[in-house]
Amino acid sequence: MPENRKHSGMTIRRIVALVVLLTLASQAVLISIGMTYANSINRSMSVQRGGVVADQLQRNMTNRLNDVNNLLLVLQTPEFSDFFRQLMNLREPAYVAGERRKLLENLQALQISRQEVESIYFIGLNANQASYRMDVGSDRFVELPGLHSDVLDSSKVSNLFLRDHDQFVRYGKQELLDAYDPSSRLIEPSNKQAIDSFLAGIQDRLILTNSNQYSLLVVLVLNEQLFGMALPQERGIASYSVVNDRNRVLWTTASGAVPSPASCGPSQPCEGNGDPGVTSRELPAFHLHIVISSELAGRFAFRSRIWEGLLAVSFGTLVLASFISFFYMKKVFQPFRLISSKMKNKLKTNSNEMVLQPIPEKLIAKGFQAVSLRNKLILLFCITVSLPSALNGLWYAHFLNREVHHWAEQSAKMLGDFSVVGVAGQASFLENTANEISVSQQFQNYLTNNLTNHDRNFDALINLNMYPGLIDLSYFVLLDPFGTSLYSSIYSNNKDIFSVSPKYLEDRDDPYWVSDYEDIFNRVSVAVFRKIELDDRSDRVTYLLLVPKDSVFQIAESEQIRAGYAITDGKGLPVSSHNYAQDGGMSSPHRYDSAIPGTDWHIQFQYWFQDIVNQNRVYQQQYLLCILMVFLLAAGIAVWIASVMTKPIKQLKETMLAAGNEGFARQLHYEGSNEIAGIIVSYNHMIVQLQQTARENMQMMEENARTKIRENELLKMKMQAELNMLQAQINPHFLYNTLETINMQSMKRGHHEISRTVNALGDLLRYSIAKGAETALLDKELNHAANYLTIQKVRFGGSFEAEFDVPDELRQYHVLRFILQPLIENSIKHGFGGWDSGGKIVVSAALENGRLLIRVRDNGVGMDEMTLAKLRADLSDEPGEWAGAEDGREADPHGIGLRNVYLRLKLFYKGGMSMEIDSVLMRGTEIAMRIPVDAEGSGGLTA
Amino acid sequence: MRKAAVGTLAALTLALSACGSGGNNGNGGSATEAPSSSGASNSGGGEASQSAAPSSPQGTVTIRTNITEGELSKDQIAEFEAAHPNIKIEIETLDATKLSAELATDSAPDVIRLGGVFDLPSYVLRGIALDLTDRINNSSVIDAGDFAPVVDVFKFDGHTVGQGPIYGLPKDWSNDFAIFYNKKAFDAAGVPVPDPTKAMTWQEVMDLAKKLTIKDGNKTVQYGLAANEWGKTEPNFNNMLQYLLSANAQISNEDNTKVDFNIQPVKDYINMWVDAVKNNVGPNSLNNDQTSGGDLFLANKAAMIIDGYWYSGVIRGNADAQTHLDDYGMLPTPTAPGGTRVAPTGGATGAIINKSSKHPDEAWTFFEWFFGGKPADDRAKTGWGLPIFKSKMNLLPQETNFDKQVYNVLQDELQYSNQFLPVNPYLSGGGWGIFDKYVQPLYFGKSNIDEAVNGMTKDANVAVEEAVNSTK
Repeated sequence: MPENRKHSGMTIRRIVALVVLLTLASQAVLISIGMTYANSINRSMSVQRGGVVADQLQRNMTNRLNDVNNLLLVLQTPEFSDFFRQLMNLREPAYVAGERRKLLENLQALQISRQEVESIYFIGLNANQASYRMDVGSDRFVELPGLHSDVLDSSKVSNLFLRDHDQFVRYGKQELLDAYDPSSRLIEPSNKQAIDSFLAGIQDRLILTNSNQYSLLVVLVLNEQLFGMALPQERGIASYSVVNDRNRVLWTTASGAVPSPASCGPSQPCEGNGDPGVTSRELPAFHLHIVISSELAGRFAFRSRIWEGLLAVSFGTLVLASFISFFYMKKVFQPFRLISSKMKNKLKTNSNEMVLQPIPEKLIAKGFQAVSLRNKLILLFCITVSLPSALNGLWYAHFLNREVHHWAEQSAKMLGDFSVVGVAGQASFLENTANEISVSQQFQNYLTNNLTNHDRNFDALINLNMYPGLIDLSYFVLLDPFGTSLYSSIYSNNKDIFSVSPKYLEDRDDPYWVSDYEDIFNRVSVAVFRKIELDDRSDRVTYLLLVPKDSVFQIAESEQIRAGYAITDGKGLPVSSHNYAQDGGMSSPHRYDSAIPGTDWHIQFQYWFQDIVNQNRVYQQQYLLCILMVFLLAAGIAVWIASVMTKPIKQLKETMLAAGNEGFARQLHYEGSNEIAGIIVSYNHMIVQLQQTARENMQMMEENARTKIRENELLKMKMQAELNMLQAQINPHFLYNTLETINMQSMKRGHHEISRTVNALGDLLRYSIAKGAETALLDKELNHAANYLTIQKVRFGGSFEAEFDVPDELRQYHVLRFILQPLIENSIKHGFGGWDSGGKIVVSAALENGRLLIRVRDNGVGMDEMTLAKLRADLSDEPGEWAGAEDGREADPHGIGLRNVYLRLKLFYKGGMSMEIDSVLMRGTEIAMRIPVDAEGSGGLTA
Repeated sequence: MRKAAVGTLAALTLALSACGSGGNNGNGGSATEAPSSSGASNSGGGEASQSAAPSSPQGTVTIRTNITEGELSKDQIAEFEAAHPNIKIEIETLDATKLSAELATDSAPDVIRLGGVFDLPSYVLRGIALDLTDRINNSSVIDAGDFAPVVDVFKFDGHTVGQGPIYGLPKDWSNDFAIFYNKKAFDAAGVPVPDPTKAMTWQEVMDLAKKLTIKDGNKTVQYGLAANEWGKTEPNFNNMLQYLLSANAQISNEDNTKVDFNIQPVKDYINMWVDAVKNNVGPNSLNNDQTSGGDLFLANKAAMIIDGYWYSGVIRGNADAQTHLDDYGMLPTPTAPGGTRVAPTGGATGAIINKSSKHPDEAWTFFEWFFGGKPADDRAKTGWGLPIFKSKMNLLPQETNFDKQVYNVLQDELQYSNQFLPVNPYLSGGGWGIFDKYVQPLYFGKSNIDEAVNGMTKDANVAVEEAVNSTK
């Protein structure tokens, strides 16, 4: 019973282990698919998002820097530079003051943002020209006497500017000191002071200069947050830096070292270049790189959160699966255990007694247990493996989807935030362009006067290049106060179509946006208007109308991250949109709404994360495939286990059936230790016991039969002997008495020979009829043989002689009586038949291997080989057969005496004797008998 | 740079891209090739496009040059590249600042456009120019025997212009200090046009200019003289060198290591001009008229303009002028009072091959073609400058009366054009700015002539000293 329990326990444990293993494997596969998906989404989307962010940042930054660069360009136009070329240091102060006021007005009309530029240095060529600094926001200039381009040249400081002309740059104190050479004879003390003060003003500041050595030198001292303006307030964990060609960090949000942008080609993305966390973008026009370094911490947070969730569920599933399978299997194996124990119990209750009773067929309950083992196992695996896999898969999918969704929401917000900055920047860029054009007297003259009757294509191009903002325009128009077109940048021979309703023209000094402008292509578009007051004292005003291209507010997207947006103004009128799907389109986008700072606009973003959709599809497929495979595997394993388990049952059944049909029971060979094994072991045990019992019975019966036969034979022989004895008992007494009488008479008459013969005959008779022991001393037996010979010699007249060659010590051994006389009789009767003389009989004895060897040899006629063989065959016959022969068959004349002796020897000594006959025709015959000398009560020495 | 295009519109730029002279080019004024806003509408101030990054296929060599798009059209480039498939030509638009920056970092173009008169000696001294003597002598395209004397302006032995190895070629040239007249303005002032067979003195020009200047109250309705087509009617360093050449005077010593402005001809020249400025014979700093000389001249509001032969091309191309071409004509280059007649080139814009070019052979192939091949013929036929080959002189326009008048005067001038402005290679283009700095206060009476020439002498000697030291 304990062994049985152990077996059954093992099996359950194994199946439970298998279930757990399978669950573990399927969980591992599911988790690994999930994690692979999460990782791949995370990685690829982080890269994608990083790429789009970098692209957007590149746009924002380019836009922002272009804005500043345009300002630098505009400040070099005659509206600003003429003042400084006009030798103001030589002119009347009143005139200068007037001109300066105009210059200031022009500057203020530019509405320069202090967030971009903090101060502007205008440095004249030489002492004849004025040099001013204007701090943005201030309403006056700071004069800079002694500071001129030519002294900067002499002091070599301008070499720095020359190297970095039109580049955003920052000089440290040492760098300025290294470049600065105040030793030139052309530098007066007043100049030196001015230069020192100037250098102090730009030291460690972000600056941009045209480095012009031949005309007005303009130096913009920029707000430190200029680059930061390209970024939204919420910047996430990444750090952003701007690095120049010489790997100098101009600006960074990083606290530590800024990674190098590495070797990226022109405008080439640099992902995958060395550190995967570093993305960089080039700003080719400015020889700058944006370096974005995202720390990995963020990714891990994302990952570990998922890990925890998945692992927890997975562990729970495992525990549940093992419990369920354990109890389920217990239930499944209950009937087996029942049968097994029943069988065992029957056999074991009484080991000596076989109490075989049928097992009640109702032992196995109906219902659940009625289901086949295979189906039960399949059910088990379904419940513990496939079902949890499917459920967990669903749950993981849901969980991951939620995470990814969350991530996408964040990404949409992040991208949106960056894009909002870009849109706001673009709007302000266009406003600034309008401002810049509005102050450009020359530009307007150029448009209205010089160009109207010339082929303007070539020159217009030049001037468009001067105002890079115009590239973003579909077209621009100069309007009179009634909305009539004065000039249009396209279709100039048909400029009337550009006239607009006067309702758009507002009397305000800043640029303003109109959302419901219907452009010449009959599309409702957004447009910038800017009033321009002409500087010809005529009080005429004109209006500049800038119509941006559709793509003006374009935001960054990529193949995998599609972006759409819709901008509406304060009144809810559409301003611009791109790829914006009202109903969300095919797949639902992630949305993000934001106000656009600096405007009353509102923007709605839609982002489609294509990769998520694609990967999600792949994930779903993998997940389904996995579930399917788990199901198939589980079913397969269930079937396999069932077959492994039912195979011995089937064998057992067949064996049992065979046992029934053939009536021959076999053992079953089964390696294993389970419930089935228990049954089989019980069965085998039973079979062994049954077989052993049968064998014992058989042996007993055989033994009984053999005993019976022998008994019968002995009985028969005994009866024969007794009969003989009876016959002998009657005659010898009579003969003996007679012989005694003869002897007496002969002695009296002196017939000594007769007396001797009669005496021998008398002894012979006495020996023959002596009762009692079956054995006698060899001496007596020899004596008996001698008496017989004496008589036979008398009969046959001395035709033979006898010789006894027996050592005295052997004569004391007991031998079976009457074994020599029949053999001698045979020799005389058969060996010397018809002989007159010459016969010889030798009786000899010797000890040989602990047995007494007695030989009787004659030199008679012997036997031919056939006769000898027959005789020998007769001797080896079983007593029964011999007996049978006695009944019917013709006895061999030689055989009777021999047989008699042989059988008696055999009966008495059993296996301890042997008797051999050897005979050669005409040479004689020898009989050799070997009898034990130590047999109890037989051939041993007489005490 | 775009900014330069604008920045130079007003005063300093020479819109000479397409003209041969670029007479004042290369001195303190910006050496950009930006077009003026005046009639030089087909001048090639090509700022239009940034050249694309070179992406050379295997075996193809890209030759960069700052010769402008106006001087080298896309069609011409395509033609050249078709004939030389292993060479790509890339035009790089450079203003003076950018070129200086590139020279400083040794990243200047393979073929560098420059002014022969004012820039070449300095480039040779700075080791930028490749010696082309052998290439030119062995060329099958360029016939050195056919060179006009002006080509020698690209020869320099370290001391004297016109001697030693040849480093480059002018694409074309002009007698840049000649006078063009507008008869309509002369008529308006009731002044006859001077005899074009005789060279006036500069003083005579100034006097004539005063007569031609017409005032209506305080307002000038007609100027007598425009000093050039783009700027103010004021003296300048280059113009002074022509005056000194005629007066046979020198401001530099023998080896150009010292400069002295304090000589009488300089003072005479300055005094003469300051007087003209004060008399407002043209738009200047005093009257602060920003209108360009060329605009005034073509609009019949200036009677004379100082310009070389190339300006006839501008007149031919101007829609207004075309209606009365016969009113225009050229007068010989004026002389210093009592000086000899000279008609030197003030620019001779051309090119050298950058000594550090990685592909000097391919650069030469381009150079040879540009200066001696079809583009040379194309240039001569337009009349925008004089060819450097004597044999191509007859390609110049000779159809209209205007063409003929200009051509005839030119023949006379050519006899006086084998002398070069006495440029100090160490001062190079720096003379212009120094001259302006000290002359401008004179217009306003804020200085005197001695102070001015002393100041110039001081500044110029510092500049020369530095240049000498840096080229030692």
